[in-house]
Amino acid sequence: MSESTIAPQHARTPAQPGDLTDQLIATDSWTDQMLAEAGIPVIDVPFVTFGGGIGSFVTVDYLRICGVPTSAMRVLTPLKMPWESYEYLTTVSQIPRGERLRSDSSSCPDNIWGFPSYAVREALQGDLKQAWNVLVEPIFANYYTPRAGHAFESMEKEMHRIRYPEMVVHGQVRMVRRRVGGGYFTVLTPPEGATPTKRIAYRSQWVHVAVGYPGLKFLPDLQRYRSEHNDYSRVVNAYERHEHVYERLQQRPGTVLIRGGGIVASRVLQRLIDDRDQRGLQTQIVHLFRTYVDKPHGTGILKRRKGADGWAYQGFNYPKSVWGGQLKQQVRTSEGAERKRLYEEMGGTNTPVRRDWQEQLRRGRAEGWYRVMIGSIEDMRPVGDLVEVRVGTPDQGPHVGTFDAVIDCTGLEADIREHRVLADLLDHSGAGRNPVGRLDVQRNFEVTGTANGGKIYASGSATLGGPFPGVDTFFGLQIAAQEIADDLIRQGFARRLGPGRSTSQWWKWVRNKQI
Amino acid sequence: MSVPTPPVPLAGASGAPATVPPFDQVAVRVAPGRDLVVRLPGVLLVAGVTTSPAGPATAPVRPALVGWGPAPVPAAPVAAPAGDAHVGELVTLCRRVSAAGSRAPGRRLHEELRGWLLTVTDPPSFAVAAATEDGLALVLVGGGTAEVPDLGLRLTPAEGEELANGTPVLDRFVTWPPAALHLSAGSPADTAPHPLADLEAGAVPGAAAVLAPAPAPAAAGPVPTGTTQLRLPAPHVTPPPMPPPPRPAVPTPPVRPAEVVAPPAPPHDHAAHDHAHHGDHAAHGHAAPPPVAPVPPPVEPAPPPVELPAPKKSALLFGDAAPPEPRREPLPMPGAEPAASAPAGEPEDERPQVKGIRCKNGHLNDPRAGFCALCGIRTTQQTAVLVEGPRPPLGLLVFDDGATVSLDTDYLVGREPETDERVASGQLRPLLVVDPTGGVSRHHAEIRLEGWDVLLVDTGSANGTLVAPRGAPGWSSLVPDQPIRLTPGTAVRMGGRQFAFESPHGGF
Repeated sequence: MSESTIAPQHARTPAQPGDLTDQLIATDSWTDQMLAEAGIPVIDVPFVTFGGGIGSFVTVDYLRICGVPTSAMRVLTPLKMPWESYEYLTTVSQIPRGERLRSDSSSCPDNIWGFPSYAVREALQGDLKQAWNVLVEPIFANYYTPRAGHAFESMEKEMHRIRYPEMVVHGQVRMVRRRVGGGYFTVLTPPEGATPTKRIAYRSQWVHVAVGYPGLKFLPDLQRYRSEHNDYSRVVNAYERHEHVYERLQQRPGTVLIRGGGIVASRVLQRLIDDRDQRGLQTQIVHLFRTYVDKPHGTGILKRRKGADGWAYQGFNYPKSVWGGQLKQQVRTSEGAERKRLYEEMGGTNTPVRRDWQEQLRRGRAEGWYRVMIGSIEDMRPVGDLVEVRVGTPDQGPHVGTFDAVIDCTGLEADIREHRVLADLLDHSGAGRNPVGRLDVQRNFEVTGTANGGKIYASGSATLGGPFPGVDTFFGLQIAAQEIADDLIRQGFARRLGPGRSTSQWWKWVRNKQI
Repeated sequence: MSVPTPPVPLAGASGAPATVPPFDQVAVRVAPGRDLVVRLPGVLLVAGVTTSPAGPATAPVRPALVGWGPAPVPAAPVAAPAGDAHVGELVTLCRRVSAAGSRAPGRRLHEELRGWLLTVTDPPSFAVAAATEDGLALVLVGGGTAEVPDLGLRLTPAEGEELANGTPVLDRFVTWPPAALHLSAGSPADTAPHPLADLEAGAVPGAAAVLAPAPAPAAAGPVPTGTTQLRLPAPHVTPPPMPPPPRPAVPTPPVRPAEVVAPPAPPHDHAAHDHAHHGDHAAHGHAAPPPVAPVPPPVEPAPPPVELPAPKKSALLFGDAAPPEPRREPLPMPGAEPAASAPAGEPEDERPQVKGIRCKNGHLNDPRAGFCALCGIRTTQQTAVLVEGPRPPLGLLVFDDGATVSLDTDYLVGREPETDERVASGQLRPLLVVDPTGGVSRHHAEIRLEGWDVLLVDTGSANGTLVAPRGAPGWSSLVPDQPIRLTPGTAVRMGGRQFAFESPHGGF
C-alpha cells in the first residue's frame, strides 16, 4: 500500500464561524471556555451515540425500552436509515432483500427478547416449514437464517415504535474529546448550510461509539490493477456493485476467476450457477483458494468443524459456543496473547453448509465447469478484452490464465486507525488497542482508559477482540447493548428492566405500541 | 425522467435542525425615517408609507373652552403620511397571524400574504421577516429590500416574480444570516439606527429595521466567558412555545467581520426532512403549496476545511500507558506539496476534472458513494468536502454481443458516427453500433458525462431510443434532444441492438 494513511490536505482557507481551532485540535481535554471562544455552540444531552448504524439502533432500542426518554439521547449519523450501510453491502454481495442472511433466528435487532424469533414469525405468517426447520436443525436441515428483507422491515417497524427518528441528528462526527470537569464533547459537522456554525458540540456524560468497521480494504493487487490500467470493470470486489459481470456473461460465454473461501464467495458462485442454470449459459468458473481445506478443521476434537473441497464450513460466523458455551467462558477470562490465540482459532474464513450450494458445486465439478486452484494472484493485466492473471501456486510454479472477469470475494477490514474518530480516540482520549489490534473495551463495553466522570462505550466490529467474542454480529450488538444498558442502569440513567417491566414492554412490542 | 443536475455537495445534505436564535429575543433597531416599522411576536414588518402633499393648512377650529389660551398656528407640514388602507390591512394581517400563537409564524404568514397580495390591486412596498422553525421567511414587495451588509448579501423583489399588476414580489425561506439583517421598504435610511435603540413590540415610524443576528444587545463588548449555548429545537419536533421574553443575558460569540467568510446564502432546503433524496436538489423544487421563486442551487461549495497537523499524543500521568502505537509520519504541511493530495497513480493528466469527495486515502469519488471505488474505505466517515480531480471512468456499457465500453469520455453512438464533425474534431469519441436491421441512425444518440452522471441524449434518430431502468415494467421512449440520466442497470435499445449501463459508483 503506497498511499499514505493520512487524510488529504486541503488548501488553507479562512476559518468559518464556529470551526475547530488549532488549540482545540491540539488539546486532549477541553473546557467549556475553549469552545465558547471558538464560537462552537454546545448542546447538552446525557447520552450521545454516533455511527447510527445497527449498533446505535440496537443500543438506543434497549435504552428506550428501559425507559429513557427520546430527549435524553441523540444519534449522530450520516445515514438515513440504521441499516442503510448494511443493506448496501449485503445487496452488492448478492444478498438482496429476498435472500437469506447468515444469522440466527433469534438474533433480532428489532427485538431485545429474541422472541418471537424470525422463524416463529415466518411460521405465524403461514410458513410452517421454517418452524420445523429450527426444530430439527442442524442435523436434519441446514441452519435456519432470516431473509434480509425481513430483518430490515422489522427494524423499520421497531424504529418507528421507539420514535428513533426523533433522536437522529444528521452530520459527520469529527471527534470526541474529554471535558474538563467531567463528561465529553462530541463534535458534529452538520450538513453544509444546515446550521450557522460549521460545527456543533454535544456535551454529554456518556458517549457510545458505534461506527462499525472503517471500511473494506481492497487487496493491493486489485487497487494496483485499477489505478494502473484505469479499468474498474473486469477486476471487481464482491462488496461493490458488479452486476455488469453477470450481465456480460449473459451476453456471451466467459470464464470467471473467483477468489476467496467465505460466504460471499458462496453467494457469488450461487449467482453465477443460478444464471447458468436458468439461462443455459456456458460460464466456466475457476475458484482460487489460498488455503485449501480438505478435512475437518479446528483445534481439538471438541472444536472440530467440517471442511471439504477447499471450504471450511461453519454454520455462523462464530462457533455456537461463543454465545454461551465454553468458548465464551474461555475468552472472557483470557488476556493478551492467550486471547489473541483464541480469536485466531475461531476466526478464519468459512462458509455455512447449504444443501443447494453443495449440489451446485458437485454438479460443476462433475461437468467440469467448476475448477479449483490453490495459490495467490501475483499479477493482473488487461489483454484485449480479457484479464491475464498470473497465479503463484505453492507446488506447481506460476500459472497464467486469461479471464473475462475476476471477482475478489475476500473481505478484509481496514485498521481502526483508518477511521478518523477512532484514530482521534487513540491519540487524544486515552483509548488503546486490544490483543487483536482493535479498540480495547471492558466487559461492560466501556472503552478502556477513557473514563472521565462519564464513560465512552463502544460496540460493533471496531471492538472485535474484547472479552466477549462475536461483537460484529446482530446478536453481538444486542449483547453489547445489554451490557451497556446494565451499566447505565447502575449509574441511574435508565430504569431497571426487571421481570415486570420486561413483560409489559414485551407486550407493547407485540402490540407494536409506540413508546 | 430526471432532469440532469450537477451533483450536490453530499449525500445527506439535508436534515439537521438549524440553530436559530429565538426571534422575539433578538434586538431590532429602527433607523429614523417616515415609513412604518411594526414588530409583533415572530414578525418584523417594514411598510412603505406613501406621502401625499399636505393640503392647505386650515386653521384649526378652536372650540371655546373655558380657561384655554390660543396656541400659535403650527407651520404646515411639508408632507403627511397618508393613512393607507392597504398598510392597515397588512398590519392587521400580520397581527392576526402573529396572534395565532405559533412561535414560528413564518410559513403561515408567508401563505397568508400570498393570498392577500392576490386580492390587492396596488400593494404598498413592504418587507417582512418572520421566524420559521429553522430560519426566516422573507417577503419583499415593491421597493422592499433585505440586506446583510456584513456578508454582502442582498435580496430585492426584482429577483422574484411579478404579480398581475406588475408589482415585483419575492418570497423566500432563508437561513438566518449570522450578521445583522437590514429590512427596508425602499426609502433610503439617512441615519444609522442608534446602537441602543431596540423595538421590542409595537409600530413606530422608521426607514429601516435592523435585526440583530443573536439575542444579545448589539453593543456586546468583551469576549464572552461562559459557554455559548444555543437552544436547538429537538429534531423533528415542533418546539414548545417559548416562554415570554424576559431577555436573558446570554453572551454571544461576537461576529468579527474580518473573519467572516461570505457564505453563499444557502437557500432554505425545503426537503430538509426528506431524507430519501440523495443529491438531486434542484430537480425537486419546493414541496410547500405556495409557488415560490426558483431557488438556485448552491453554486460554489464551501471552501474545504483545513486539515491541521496532528497534535502531540497525550501523555499519561498515572498508570501504564496504552500499548504503544507505531509512531506516525509527521503530517505534511497543508499547501506545501500541492500535488500531494493526488493519489500516486493519478498525476496531473488529461482527463476531465470533476468535483468529488476524496476518501481518506486520497481517491476521488462520487459524493454519493458510501465506499471508495478504488480502495473500499468508507467515505461517510469524513466530512464531505468537494475537491476537483481527474474523473475516473463512470461505468461501462455492456452490449448485447458482450462487448464493453468504458465510459471515460463523451461518445456519439450510431451507424456512422465518424461522419459527425464533433467526432472529427475530437470532441466526441465515435461508438459504432452495427445493426443488421438498419434501425440505428447514422448519428443516433450521444452519451455525455456530466459531473458524476452519465446522460443519454437521443439526437433525433429516425427510429428512436428506448430505455428501461432496472426493475421498470417496460420500455419508455426518449424524447429527442432531451437528456436522461442513466442509473446503473438501465437497458437501452436502439434498432435491433441493446446495451446496458453499469456503474460501480453511486448507490444500489
